[in-house]
Formats: sequence, structure tokens, C-alpha cells
Amino acid sequence: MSEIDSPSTEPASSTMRIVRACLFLFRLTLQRQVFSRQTLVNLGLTIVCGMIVAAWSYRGHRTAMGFSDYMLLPTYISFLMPIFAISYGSSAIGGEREDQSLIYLLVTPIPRAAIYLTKAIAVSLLVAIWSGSTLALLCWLAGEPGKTLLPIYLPASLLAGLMYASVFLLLGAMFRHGTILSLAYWFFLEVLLIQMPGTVKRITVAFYLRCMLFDAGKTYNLGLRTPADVEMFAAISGESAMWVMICAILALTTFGAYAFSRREYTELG
Amino acid sequence: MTAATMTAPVAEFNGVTKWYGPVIGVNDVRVAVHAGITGLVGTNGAGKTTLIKLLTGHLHPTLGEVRIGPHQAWSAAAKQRVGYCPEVDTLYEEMTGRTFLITMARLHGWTGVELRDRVEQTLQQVGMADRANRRLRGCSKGMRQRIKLAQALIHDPDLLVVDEPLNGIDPVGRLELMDLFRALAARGKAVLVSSHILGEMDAFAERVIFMGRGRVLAEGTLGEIRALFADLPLQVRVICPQARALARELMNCESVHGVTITRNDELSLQVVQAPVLFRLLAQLAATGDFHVQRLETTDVTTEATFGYVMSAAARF
Amino acid sequence: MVDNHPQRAVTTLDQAGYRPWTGTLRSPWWSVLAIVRVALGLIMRRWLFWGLLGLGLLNFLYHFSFIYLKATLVVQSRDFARFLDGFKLTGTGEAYMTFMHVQAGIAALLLAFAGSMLIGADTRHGGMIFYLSRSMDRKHYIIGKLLSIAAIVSLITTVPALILYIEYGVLSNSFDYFVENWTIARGILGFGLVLATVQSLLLFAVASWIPRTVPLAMTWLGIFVLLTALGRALREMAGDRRWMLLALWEDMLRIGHWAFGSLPENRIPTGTETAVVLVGVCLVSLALIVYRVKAVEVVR
Repeated sequence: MSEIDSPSTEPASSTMRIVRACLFLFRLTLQRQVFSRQTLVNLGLTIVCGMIVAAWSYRGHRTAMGFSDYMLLPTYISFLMPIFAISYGSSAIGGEREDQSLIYLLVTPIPRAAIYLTKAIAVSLLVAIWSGSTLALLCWLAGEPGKTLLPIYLPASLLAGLMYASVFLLLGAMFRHGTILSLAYWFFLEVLLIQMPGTVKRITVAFYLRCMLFDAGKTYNLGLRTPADVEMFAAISGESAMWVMICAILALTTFGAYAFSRREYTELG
Repeated sequence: MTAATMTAPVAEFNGVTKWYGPVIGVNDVRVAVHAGITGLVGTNGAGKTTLIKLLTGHLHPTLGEVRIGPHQAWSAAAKQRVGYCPEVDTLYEEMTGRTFLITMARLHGWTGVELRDRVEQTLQQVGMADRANRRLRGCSKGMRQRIKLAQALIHDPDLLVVDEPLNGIDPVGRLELMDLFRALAARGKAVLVSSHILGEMDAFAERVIFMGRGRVLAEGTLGEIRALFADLPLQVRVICPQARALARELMNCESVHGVTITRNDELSLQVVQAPVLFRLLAQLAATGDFHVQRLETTDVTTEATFGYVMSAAARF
Repeated sequence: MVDNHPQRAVTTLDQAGYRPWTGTLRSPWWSVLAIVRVALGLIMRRWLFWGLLGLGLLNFLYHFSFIYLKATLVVQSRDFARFLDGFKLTGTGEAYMTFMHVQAGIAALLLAFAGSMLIGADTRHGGMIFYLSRSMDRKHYIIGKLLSIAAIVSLITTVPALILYIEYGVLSNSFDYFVENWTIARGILGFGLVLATVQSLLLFAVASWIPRTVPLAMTWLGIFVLLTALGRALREMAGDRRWMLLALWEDMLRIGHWAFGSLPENRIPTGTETAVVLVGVCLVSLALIVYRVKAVEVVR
């Protein structure tokens, strides 16, 4: 081992240093998430979904309504999109916590709130890219009905993907078994509550997503064919649903940054 | 007061108490960490880990404050001054040692040529420059330990906190690490080392903090702490070819409570008021009848002092 | 600390460190039970899993109460009993099949969450080495883990269904119910066996290769949800019902119907075709498990 020399030069100002560190953390988060096992599984699931849609597209009679009801809603909206958000959202902080490698972020001079926000932005970008490109792929495979539905589905699914990501990022940061909790949240709150009558389903992301989606797809009679459907998903307008989601994303991210900056991770180290 | 304590402390605990729900982690801790090597010693559950986590800003104190220079330990500014080498054996496993260090340097805001220089310098320091291109997943425990230490040094911190640094390191590596700690201390850095290997603490720790039941039981150099137990006989070893004759002379001295002839040329003494004995030995040596070749205290070691401290603490 | 009594010091040193067990070791097959007990303990300790177990318990209690209510009302009013029979909620093979289907869904969900802890942790955190360093073989480990998963599935599906079957029988006026409906008992046990075998082998195989919680849960749910969707889409496309064999969940249900004797004859895919597919899946899973477990080197 050699004798120790002082560092030759100090980096620029403290603020600049933190900005640089945050930019690098953003890149690091993207890099570690993209080259992870989750990405392989996501890819596998997307390929299977693509095969399903490709098989469906061989039917003689194809309508936008059919594609929405039998393909996009059950496979993409109810399954793939939340899975993308869970895979990246809950593991961004929750996964590092499970591996105990989070400690190396917490020893850096980056303020904790900035760590959280950087991770939130990286995860949101990743979820948006996965959700958007998968939707585009499925719509392309479906042919004409897909082309019709893409502009209707894209804004709602991107917004819902971001909201899912912010929920799962928060759960991963707040709870020790955040990944399991995220899966439980998705199944119990999102899958089960969305089918229930009354106002209870308004605490789910899926509700606002459907409200926005069905409002935008009124022309094609998407989702709102029976009085029960209207009762379930036309309670609020698409625009209101959109604002609820935007506000929720901002609120969840702000709360997450605050909570993360106060949280003690006693299990680390 | 030693030279180290006269300088401004690098880190300070001011009446720090930490509760984990109904369990107390550390209780009203008031201690300062100065430049030089400080050993942190205590039994399991004594509060060492809590103390380290408070110092590295992973925990908030329930009461009191932990300061790193002018900053609260929890603050981001304090992290710039502290390097932490955790005990947990986790790294970014998919990376090589070098890329891991580059990553950590970038996370501290370093870029460009400075970054590369700093990384290479640090790898040199920990003796990993020639092995840093191995993937961390396949590295031995000793190599991983060195890389963990390197990441703690990458930003040239004022205070290095090291939790069990000698675990998994071979004897040669241990000596190298101790040299590294000494070199850092010589540069005016503070190094806080928590270790269970008390024997090795003697070799490099200038000061020791003894912890037990969440409290700092004693703090200072081993000599200072040992002096607190003046009523306990000091163990002194004397090497002298005239061991039996010397034993006869020493038995007349009231400060000597016991004499054991351990070898033909070696005595083991139990002494209270050691200065009296040392003066007597000087007088006897001056007569020319006794050739005292070696004189040393055998219980001013971390292990022995720890035993005294723990026995004293158990009485309360 | 130095001991001043040399004799005592030697005795103490003799006791230190590892030393061989001098008693008689029981057969390593007993370790299988220990593995099952540990696995069940792991599940029971987590409150999150109790949420799912509670859901299953709620469904069971609902059916249990309904059978009791029906038995009580039959005594008071025959007409009301005939009215309740119309709902086919209890007593028939179809009712038990539906009950087990719901419970199997809960079990599959529980396994999606718990797979990483039960199996994945062994490969990720070296738990397998801990097991294999005991006086047991790889086969005992594999069987122990498979039985653990099977026990969880059976506790949620087969055992409650059998309790309901017995409850219905003993609340009748005679034991004729058991004699006349023995096929129901066969169906419950057969369907339960298929659920336990397929899910345990499949989960072990998936979790030993994808040990992390999120990718494992994604793959596990993907196998059941997406393969069903793919099977349906391909059936529509090709006009061949055999594509439904891709849907493993439906395959298990089909075998369940077969065991209950309610699978229509000559309906494609047939029970035999389904059984062949499931046996194939089980064999592939077993091969993956053996390959994975063999890769762990243990120095004894």
C-alpha cells in the first residue's frame, strides 16, 4: 500500500458537485435498472403479449372496440403496465434496500430528497418508455384497430404508468418488504377494488385510468356500453381524472422525497 | 491531556441518546473524536453500531446532537467530511472494483482527470491497483474489504469510520491496513475503528472508546484509562538474570503485592503505586547487583483494560 | 482470560469448536419434515401472508356456515331446503370444484409473493448450502422444498374442501352421502394433488432460476395469466381448441373436472392430452430444479 497524497484538485463548487452527482445517479439508476433481470422478464412478457395480439389480429372481423375489450384492457392495462411499474418502481429504492447497497447512496453528499427525486425521474422515464413503446408495438401488431386506439390509450396509460411508478417507488422506500407490499397493493387494491361498486374504487389508479380512457374513447364506445359501466367509470370526466392523476403523482413524489429524507434505515450497514 | 485532545474535535457527540421504540441504543453519550486513530470497543449490544450509524448520519439522535465539524451528522454537508466503510459485505456486484470506485467518486461529484487520478490513488492506497478490474462478484472477502475501504477514502474525508475492517483480511493485509490507518492519522485525519480483535487494537489505536450497555464507559489512551483503576494491581514483567535475588528484594517493598518467578530470568509482579516500584528498581539497578534487561506492564492492553472497564461497569 | 486450573482448561477446550455427533442419527428423510416445518413457519410469521390466508379462511367459513345453515333449515322446512338446492352452493362436485378453484387462486397468489422467500433466498443468500451441509442429500432438500409448497397449497385448497365434504356428510341424516358421492372425495383429492404437484414443481423451478421477488412474481403471474390469454388468442386464430393446452391454469382445472368426473367426453383438449402436457411441464420443471441444485457445491 502506498503513502497517501492529498487529492490534486478539488472539484468545482458544492452545488455544481451535487448537480453532477445527481446527473450521474440518474444515469446509474437507468443503467442498473435496464441491465437487470426485471428487464428480461418484462421483455419476455411483452413478447408473449405481442404474440397474443398478433394471433388476435388474424381474425377476420376486427374492431377497435374488440381490440380494446379483449386485448388491451385485460393484457396491457390490467397486467403489463402495472408490472412494468412494479418492476422498476419498487426495485429502484426497495431493491437496493433489500441488497443493502442503498448504503452507498446514503453516504454520498447528495441530499436525500435529491436522491429520491433523481430516482423518481429515472424510474418514471423508464416506465414511460416501456409502457409507451409496448403500447405502440401492440397497436402496430393489431393493425387498423391499433392505429385508431393508440392516440386514445397513450396519454392515459403514460399518466397511469407514472402514477403507478410513484406509488411503488414510495412503497419501496418506506417499507422493508416494499416489493412484496407493492405486489399486494396491486392485486388487492387495483385488481379487486376496481371491480367493486360504489366510491371505494376511487382510491385506485385503475379507476382514474379507465375514466380517462373511456372518456377519450367515447366515439368508439369503449368500455361504457351498459348502464353499469356508465355507473362504474363515468362518474368523473376524463379531464378531472387526468388532473387527479397529475396531482397525485406530484403529491406522492413530494411526500416520498420528504419521507425518504427523514427515514432511518436501521437495517443498513 | 494528550496532543490529540488539544486540537478541535473532528466529530462530537453532545448528550446523545437514541431509542429504538422501547429499546435504548445509546444513552447520554458525550464523546469527541479527534485526529488520530480511535478504537471503538464493546461487547455485542453495547451500542457501537448505533454510535457509528449516528456518526455517519444514518440515524437521528432522539436527544442531543452529533456534529461533524460545524455540521449536523445527518446533513448532506457532513457526508463530504466522513468516509464510511460498513461491515456489511455488499457492493454493486455487477461492477468491477475500478468501476465501483469510479461510480462512488462520481456520486461525490468528481469528474474528468481529477476523478481518474483520485481513483487510481485510492486503489494504490488500499493495494488493489493491479486487481481492480476483477468483477466484484468473484472477488475474495479480503479484496472486497479493501474495495469497501477504498470507497470510503475516495473523497479524502476528514473522518474515516471503519466497522470491523480486519475481518477476512490475511495477516499481511492486516499489517498493510494498519499502516494505512497510521498514514491517514499522520496526515491529521481522524480514524474511528470498531473491531472485536482487541489484540490488534493495541497495535494501532492511539485512543480507545469503551462502550457498554449503551454508554461510553471510558475514553482516552490505554494508559489514561488504566490509571483510572489505580486500586487494581498492575501486572509488571521484569527480565533480569538475577530473578530470585531481585524477587527477595522486591518482597520488602509495600507496593508489591505479589511476585511470581515465571522463568529463571523472569518475574511477574502485581503492583499498586507503580511509580514507587519503578524508583526502587532504578535504585537496585544502580547498585550494579541487578541487570534489569526489560521492564514492561502486561495489562495496559486493550483486552486487559477492557476487562477492567467491564468489571467496573458491572458493579453499578 | 487464562484459566488457572490446567485440567479444567483442557476440558473446556475439548468442548469448544465443532465435534462429531456421537449419538445415533435418524434417517435423513426426517429432515424433509424439518424443511416443511421451517417453510410453514416462515409463511405463518409474515402478516402479509396472513392477509391472503385470511381471505382463504373467509371463503372457507362462508361455505362452512352455509352448509350448517342449510342443514338446520332442512330440518325446519323441506321447501326451503329445495330452494337452497337450486343454488348448488354446497354438496355437489361442481360446488367443491368452484370452491377449490377460488382457493387455488389465493394459493397461487400467495406463492407468487412467498416464492422468493421459500426458494429464492436459498439460492441468493446461500441457504441451500446450509441445508446441504447437514447430513442430508440433495434429493431430501428437493423433496422437502416441494413438500413445503405442496403443503401450503393443500392447506388452502384440499384440506378445507375435505372438511366441507365431511361437514356436509355428517350433517345429513345418514352416511349415504359419503357412499353416493365418493367421486367427490376422489375429485377433491385428485384436483388437490394436481394443484399441489404442478404448482410446487413449477414454483421451485421458476424461483430457483429467478430468485428475486419482483421478477419471480412477474414470471409466476405471467405464466398463468398471459399463457391463458395466448392460448385463447391462438385458439381463435387457428380454430383449434388444442391451443388451450398452453393455458396451464385451465389445464389444471380440466384435470380437476376429470377427477370429479365432470369433464365432457370427447371435448378437445381431452383429459389425457391435458395430463400429458402437465406431466411434461412437471418433468421439465424437475430437470431445471435438479440442474440448479446440482450446481451448488458443498464441501462436507
